[in-house]
Amino acid sequence: MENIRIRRFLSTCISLGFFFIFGTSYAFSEENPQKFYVPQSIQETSVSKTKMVKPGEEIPDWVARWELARVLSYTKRYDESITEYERVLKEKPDLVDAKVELAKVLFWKGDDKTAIKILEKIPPKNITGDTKVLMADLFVTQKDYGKAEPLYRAHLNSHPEDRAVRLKLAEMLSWQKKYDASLAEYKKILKAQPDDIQVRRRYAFVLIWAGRHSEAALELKKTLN
Amino acid sequence: MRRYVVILILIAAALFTTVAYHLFKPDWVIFRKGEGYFAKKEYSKAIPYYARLLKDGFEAPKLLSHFGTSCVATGDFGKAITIFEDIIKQSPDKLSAVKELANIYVIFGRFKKAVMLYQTFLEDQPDNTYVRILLARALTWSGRFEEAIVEYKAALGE
Repeated sequence: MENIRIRRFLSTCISLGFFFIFGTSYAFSEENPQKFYVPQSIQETSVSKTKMVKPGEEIPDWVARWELARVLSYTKRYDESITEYERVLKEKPDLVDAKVELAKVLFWKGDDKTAIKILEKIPPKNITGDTKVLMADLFVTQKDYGKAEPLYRAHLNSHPEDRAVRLKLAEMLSWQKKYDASLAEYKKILKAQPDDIQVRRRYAFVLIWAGRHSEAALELKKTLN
Repeated sequence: MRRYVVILILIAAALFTTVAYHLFKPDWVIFRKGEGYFAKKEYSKAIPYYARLLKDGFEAPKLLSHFGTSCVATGDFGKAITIFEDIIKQSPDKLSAVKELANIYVIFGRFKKAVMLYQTFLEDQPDNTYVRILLARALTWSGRFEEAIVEYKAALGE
């Protein structure tokens, strides 16, 4: 009997304790409020002394350095940009996007070979559509068309509406004398953009190279109308 | 009998504490309500609480930033700008408002104004690398790359 009383008493105390803590939780949960100046648009009273802006908002150095590397590349300070990218990658070697950007900067600088080396080290699963296109562009500059074609095609499989890339593929195929494949790509572009005179002229030239002169003449005539 | 007295006293104490807190710390109660909605991303519901607190001259560490974020989330930029501009007009040394307003200007794409505000902030707190990077970003987005580079390097201590 005594035990039951004690239990009841304890459970009551625990419940009340919980209630008490709940009721006072606000008081323990925050810093002391500080009054400060009130905007005039709200009321006419004023002012308090400012305090320092709270800490805790931080941007890691490597993020700032990465952004710096980008901005340096915008101003064509490629060597400095590359240095900054390398410093970022030294600290964060798994940053695939930074590697891709570094490759781009190297490409802009004219160092295609190093750019390709960097991109080839990236695991294929981490290579996005844009990176595939960049890699393909780099392979084209090296005249390594065999490696470029599957990359362009992979990108076009997922982005069939990307006519700029399709045009690159069509041009590259024509340089390889794969005229039928090239013309097929041109046809797809012209189906979507029938009024694009420049593309139609290129299409006509490929027809000429393929020995289909009468068709080429017709296409060229269309561009003159 | 004594046990019931103790229980009653505890109940009274708990009730008294709760009521007293609501009476003497109403701003914090309102702030907590606003924060509750903010945490649930119900920004439009949080705004009236934050606005009321500002009206009452209340200040808490996250009030301005959460109010600014809520206004941005609900697209009520005009209200946020008016309030922050007034804060700065009345109290130019109110740096948190300066920064929040600059952040909102950035969202609006008004980089020139944002840059000026970040620079104002940095005059007072030149060692605040966070805001210096925000300044560098605003300069970048406004196409002022050379100045952005200077700020980034300064933020990195170079």
